[in-house]
Amino acid sequence: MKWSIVLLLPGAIAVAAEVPFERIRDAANDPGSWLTYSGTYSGQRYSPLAQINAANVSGLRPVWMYQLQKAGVFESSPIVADGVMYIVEPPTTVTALDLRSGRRLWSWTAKLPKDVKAIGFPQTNRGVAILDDKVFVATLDAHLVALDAKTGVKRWDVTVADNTTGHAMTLAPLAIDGRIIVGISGAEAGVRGFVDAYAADTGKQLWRFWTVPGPGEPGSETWQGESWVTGGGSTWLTGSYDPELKLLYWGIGNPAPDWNGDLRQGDNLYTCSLVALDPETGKRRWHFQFTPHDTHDWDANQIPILVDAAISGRMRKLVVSPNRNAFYYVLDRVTGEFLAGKAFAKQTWAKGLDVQGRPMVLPDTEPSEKGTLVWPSLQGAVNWYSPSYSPLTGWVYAAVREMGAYYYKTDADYVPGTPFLGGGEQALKGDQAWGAVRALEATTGEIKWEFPLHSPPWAGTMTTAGGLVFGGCNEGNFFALNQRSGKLLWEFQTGGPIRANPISFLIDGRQCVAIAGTHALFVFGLEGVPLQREFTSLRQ
Amino acid sequence: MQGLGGVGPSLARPVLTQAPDLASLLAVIDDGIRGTGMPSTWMLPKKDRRAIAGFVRTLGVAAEAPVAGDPARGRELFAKAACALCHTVDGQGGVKGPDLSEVGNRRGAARMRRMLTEPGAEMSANADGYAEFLPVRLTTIDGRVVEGLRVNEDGFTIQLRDLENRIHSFRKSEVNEVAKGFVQSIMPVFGSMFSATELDDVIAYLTTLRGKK
Repeated sequence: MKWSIVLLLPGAIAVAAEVPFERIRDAANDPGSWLTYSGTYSGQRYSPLAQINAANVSGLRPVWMYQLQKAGVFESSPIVADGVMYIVEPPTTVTALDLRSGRRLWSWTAKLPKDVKAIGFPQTNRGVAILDDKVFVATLDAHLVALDAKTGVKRWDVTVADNTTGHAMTLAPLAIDGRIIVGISGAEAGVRGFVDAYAADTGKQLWRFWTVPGPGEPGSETWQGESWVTGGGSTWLTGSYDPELKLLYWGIGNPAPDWNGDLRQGDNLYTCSLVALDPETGKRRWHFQFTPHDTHDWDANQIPILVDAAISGRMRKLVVSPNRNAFYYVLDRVTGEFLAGKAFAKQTWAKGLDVQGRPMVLPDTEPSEKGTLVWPSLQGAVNWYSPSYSPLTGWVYAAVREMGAYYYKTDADYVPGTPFLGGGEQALKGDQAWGAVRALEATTGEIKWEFPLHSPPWAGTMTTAGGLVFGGCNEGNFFALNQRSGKLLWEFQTGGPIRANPISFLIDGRQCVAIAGTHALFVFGLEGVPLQREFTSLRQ
Repeated sequence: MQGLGGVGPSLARPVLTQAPDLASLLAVIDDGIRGTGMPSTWMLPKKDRRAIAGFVRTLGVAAEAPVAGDPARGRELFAKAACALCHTVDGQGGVKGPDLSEVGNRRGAARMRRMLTEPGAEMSANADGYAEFLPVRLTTIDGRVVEGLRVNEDGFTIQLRDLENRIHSFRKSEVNEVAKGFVQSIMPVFGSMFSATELDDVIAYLTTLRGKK
């Protein structure tokens, strides 16, 4: 047989669209896969799989583990499609694993500069996006790279921003119809934030939305003098998408400098806000600011959760979010109208929210030279890790950080590529701080139950149609709770802090759950359901 | 500000244990010391961190600040008060309390005085801020009471070491109540047994404990 003839046959090299946009849009009908950062575009981190449930979850056992090839901060949320799991090992190594065996299929490592800058956060990465025949990764030195999903071969590589000035990327990109949407990190270095769109097939930039408006643009009146140039507003987590409304929802981070707001008087739009963007043009449809003129580093980058629910007897399209500032918010996602809000954790900085959802800030809560004790700490009542939502209960499940901090204010001089902070914090920790998984009624924020955690967590939650909510904690326990009661049903000691979000998928028809641990990815399944392993040998 | 030590050790010494030269001192100031209470100061501008390093270096230029008291007499008092029943020095002694072999590297004189006069007031904490040697009284669901020092804890389990040095591990589902003795060190108040001079002597002795070279 002449191999060359086979390979040259027309059509044999046709590009296969394994994960087209339509499949991601309808991901809820494809529960065996996990096709976006949060599972679907809605940001709910809900698996429709129900094989594992309250009655049998106590039988959950490890199926396989994958150990990191190099130590680092492992925060990757995997993508699962067509028998392959895609993870990102820190700082930026994309690895494809055979879903059945956990064996590596390929790895691709970004060539990072030796002095790569990650100012104010660990050198980590939170995952890839998949679309058609490619996976997409945002690198620590702020490149967006497309890789062939089958081999890891690089298809294109574009520079999103200059890393020497502190621009960096750790987020999982969002893949929608023909375009890849990304945000940027670097507010602690005084970058001016943005959301970008790139053509999925070529890497050509399609648009940029600046999160800090320039002179003359709407919102520019909320910045003093030239402060907008180094105004922060980074966009370091993945947004959500409503394909029917054709709107992107993206959370925006803190203004810069973080703790000294003296030279940026005003609300500092669109920092600490949620924006709704037109995916075709990048034009802003609406915005809602959670923390005007923030001086506590309370980024609003948390994953927006898109939920349809009745409010006062009327079905509404909502976007809801437990925010880093300790308040839970319910917004109309068509208009951005504030509908409800309520504190879900200890906070000492605001009397509450007014009818517009604006915080009524208490006096003497600003950072100061001698330190001001405020709850929550700068890491917030929640942070980057994901919340989840269950349509079974109508509740949001948030891993909550109960921690205060002394906030300090200092001068801030902008030097490109160095920390631009204007202060710092000393957090209360150890026996003075704690955590909890809390169930919040999605339309009101009312706390339905809480499951206490030993320390303020860094792991997200995932809900399943089996009536479970999975979570993790700093002490290494990966656990499953009853969605309705908060009762502990199962836990496994992974041997190191968990800083990641769980996912669920099928291996040969069998439901599994995966979580990134400190130095290894763990996959769990039910005992007694044998895997249909295929043992084939090419050497007969 | 003389750098004589608070929670941490005196910095008024010619050679610092963790930072014998400028490069290692800058690294300690930038990154903190893993596994200890020494935090990173990445939030400060680089020029400020350099300035701190410069200041710390000046502290060590003069001869080490003397601690009042006679270390030789302190050593005798340490033996007489049977401190070694609970504390190890250079491999000899008990394990109910912390190993003091290098306490002179870790603690300043003021903190040592406080530990001797008000043992529970400022409990030592690990790098995550959890109290070490925390007295715990635990009641199991079948009514058994176990007392000891907390070794480790998570949301689901707790590990204790009792005063006979036995390790106990409980799942919290097996436990009715965990009473934690914050500000209740099991160490006696030696400060009230020693005279003021004797207290100085003991502190002077402890300050000399810098580990075997």
